[in-house]
Amino acid sequence: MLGFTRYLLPVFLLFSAGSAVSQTLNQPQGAVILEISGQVAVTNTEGAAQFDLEMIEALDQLVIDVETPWHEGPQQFSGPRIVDLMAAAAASGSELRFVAINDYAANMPWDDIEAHDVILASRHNGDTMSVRDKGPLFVIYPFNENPELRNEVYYGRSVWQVKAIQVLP
Amino acid sequence: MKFPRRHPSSLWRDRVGVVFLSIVALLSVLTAWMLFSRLLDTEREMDSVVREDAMWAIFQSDRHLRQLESLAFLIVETGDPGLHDQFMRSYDILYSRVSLIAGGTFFLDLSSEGKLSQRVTAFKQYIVALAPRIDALVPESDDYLSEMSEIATQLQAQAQLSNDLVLGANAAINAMRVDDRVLRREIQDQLALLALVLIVAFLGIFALLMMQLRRIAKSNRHMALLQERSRRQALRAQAASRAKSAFLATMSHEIRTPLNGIIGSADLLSFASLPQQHMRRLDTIRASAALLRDLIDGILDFSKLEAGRFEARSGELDLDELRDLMSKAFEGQAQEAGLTLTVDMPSGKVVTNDARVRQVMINLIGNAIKFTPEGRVQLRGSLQGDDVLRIEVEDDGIGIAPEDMPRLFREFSQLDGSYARKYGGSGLGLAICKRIIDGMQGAIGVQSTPGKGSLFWFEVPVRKVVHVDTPQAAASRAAGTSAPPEALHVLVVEDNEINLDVMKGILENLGHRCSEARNGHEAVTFLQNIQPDIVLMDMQMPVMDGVAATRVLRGMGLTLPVIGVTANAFSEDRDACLDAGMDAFVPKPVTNAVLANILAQFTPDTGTRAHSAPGGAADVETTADQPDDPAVSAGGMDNPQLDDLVAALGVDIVASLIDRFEADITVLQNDLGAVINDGDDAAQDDLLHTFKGGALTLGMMCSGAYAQEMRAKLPLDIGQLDHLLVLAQDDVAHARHSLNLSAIA
Repeated sequence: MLGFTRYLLPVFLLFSAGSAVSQTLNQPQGAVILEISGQVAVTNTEGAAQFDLEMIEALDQLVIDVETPWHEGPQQFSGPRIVDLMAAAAASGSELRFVAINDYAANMPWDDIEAHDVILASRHNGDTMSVRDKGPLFVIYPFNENPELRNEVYYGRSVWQVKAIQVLP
Repeated sequence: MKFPRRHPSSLWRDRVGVVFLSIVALLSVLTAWMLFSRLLDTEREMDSVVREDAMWAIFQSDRHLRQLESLAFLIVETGDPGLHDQFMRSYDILYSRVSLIAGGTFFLDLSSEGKLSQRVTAFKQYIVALAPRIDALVPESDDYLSEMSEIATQLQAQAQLSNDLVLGANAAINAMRVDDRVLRREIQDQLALLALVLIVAFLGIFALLMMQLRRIAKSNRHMALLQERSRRQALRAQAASRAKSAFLATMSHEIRTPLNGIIGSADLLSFASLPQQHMRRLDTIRASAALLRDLIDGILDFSKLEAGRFEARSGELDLDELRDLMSKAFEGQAQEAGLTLTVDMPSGKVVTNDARVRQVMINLIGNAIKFTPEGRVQLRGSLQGDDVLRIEVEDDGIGIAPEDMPRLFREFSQLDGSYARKYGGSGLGLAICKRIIDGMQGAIGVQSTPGKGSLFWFEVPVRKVVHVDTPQAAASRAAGTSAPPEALHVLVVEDNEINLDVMKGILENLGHRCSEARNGHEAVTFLQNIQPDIVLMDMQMPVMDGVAATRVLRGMGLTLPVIGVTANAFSEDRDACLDAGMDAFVPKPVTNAVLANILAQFTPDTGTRAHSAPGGAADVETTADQPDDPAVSAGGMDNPQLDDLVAALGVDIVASLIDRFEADITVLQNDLGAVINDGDDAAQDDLLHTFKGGALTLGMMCSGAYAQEMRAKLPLDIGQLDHLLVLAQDDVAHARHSLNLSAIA
């Protein structure tokens, strides 16, 4: 179903932007931890798609083993690819703006999520993350697979304590 | 030219300089590379570890701490526990930050023992330790506000510390930047210095190499100059050597002509009835003249030997005659020097290069007499087996030191300048001897004791003649005196009228029959129809010369004897004659005796011809024989050729010949005058040649020799032509005078 959506989405958007859609998004049952706003076609609230942890974990999960500047030693993160997340919200644009709980924000070009398996991690070493552990959501680039990403630009885009994503045109 | 003296040492210095500068340059490059790699290492080390900005982390912590502090004070002041969730969220964020600042990896090292890191650690510990207290807060409890107030006060104090931390970190980072900048500048300065050293070193190397190149170019130029100079000197030396050889050849050639006169006259004289005493002296004159001619022939040969040519001709050498010849020739000289000369020679005849053997012997004996103050000179000959003739000349002379032996047979090397002053001579003798003997595949050597004497010896290959005396040999020796030859039919091929008349006259006088042809072409035509017994062929003729004509008639399969007649005594001409197929060769001017002798040799019915003797064609040139009419020998000695002619042809014919010659002078004057104006060298040469032939035949040596001389200096000018005509008139006058004397006699 999801795969189907992914491939159909561009065509779909072409013909039915802004109108009623066959794809729907459930209402979050638990605490909302992520809101995707801006250029989104599928919403479950006014102008935005909201997600709780369960909805996020219902998407295809990718496990990444990685070393980061913010942890000692190798770490394991898991979560959906951001590109899948965008598909779930039928979002499309040129840029994504990640906003953290402490109002830190960083922009990421759309190309990044298509070129790399960038995930929005919900689990760190198998556990969910508290705010004290930089949770609940953490943008993780596959640094180990792509060492050329290890620089200040991508570190800056690796936003933690993510609470919202704005899809910019 | 002087060589620059400092050349080798400065070259060495250059080389040391280049090596030194090269080492400096190499060291500079190495050091620069090390510095550069150190710089790269530093950078790489920094990049290899994933780091975050410490300043950012500390500043963020400070910010969140202040937010937490203000929230705490807000709750205390308002007493509103509704802000508790916000307070908790703020603490969580601070907590997440603080855990990073002491544990993460930063450009600024916050984990070591420094004062800053102690503060960071203390700050972190305080925030982490605060967690249980904060988590224990219950907004509904009674002591919530008092607890919050206490926490707020503590946070206020921590905010002060955190502020210090921010300032301290900022200062530390500034210091680190400065340190880094200083280090980089230091490395950059070192690199710059090294680059400078490198540039200087390379410039130095460049300069030294340029200097070296210039020096090499200079020395190359110098070498080229020297080479050119020595080349020119060599050319000059070669030219001098050629001139010397040419002089020798020319002189010898010139001497031959009067010498032939002497020999001819002496031969004529020997038939006169003279007193016994005079007869002996005459014999000495004849023998000596023959020796002199051999010597001159030797010098002529030497010019050819010098050019690397050696003619291999052989003739019969009668050892008995040789004994007599040597005795007669050197007896007087030895007696005069107070020496005893003994000659010991075996009997018999051998075939070898007879003239050359005589020549070498003459040289050795002459030397022996020259270098022996008193005592004996012995000449010994012996046959070693049947095929080697060994000749030894032993003297009691001054001898030769062993160290001088090697130089002995070299050209122009008399052993000592003092010898030359004392004894005279060219220094050429032994060199000629060696060349001759080498050319004959023989050996020559010397054994000597200084002060005691020397023994010069040589050995040459010979072939023994078994039958000692054949009728024709005897006839040949005494041609004209006994056994009158049969009448032959002789074809005379000669372009010059006078020469033709003279030869015909002599031949008819000898009782032979003549036909004539004016050039080679006429001769060939004649021979197609009529076969004479013998052909006398002039070499240089118009239309077709003698050599070409001989080739043609040999090509036609004609085998009759052909005798070349030429004015040139050089061996090349002789070789050319024989190569073309001639059987023998006679020099001009042709005399009665020579013709008689050659015809005797080629009389067809006598069987064995001299030219068929093994080893090569016969050489009749040196066989000077007597004229058959001794009665006419009383004429003037200034023109023996004319006397000879008178003897052969009679006064009247010779007088008419002289008249013809005088008429020819007028013709020559016109013809030559015309071609002088035309500037045609070849035509001038032809006319001079023809004139010379006639002049020499009539014994007119002055004008004949001058004509020959002029042929080498073409083109002629009018002055030279006039001189030639004057000489010719003089000659004619002299000849008429001699003729008158003969007629009176």
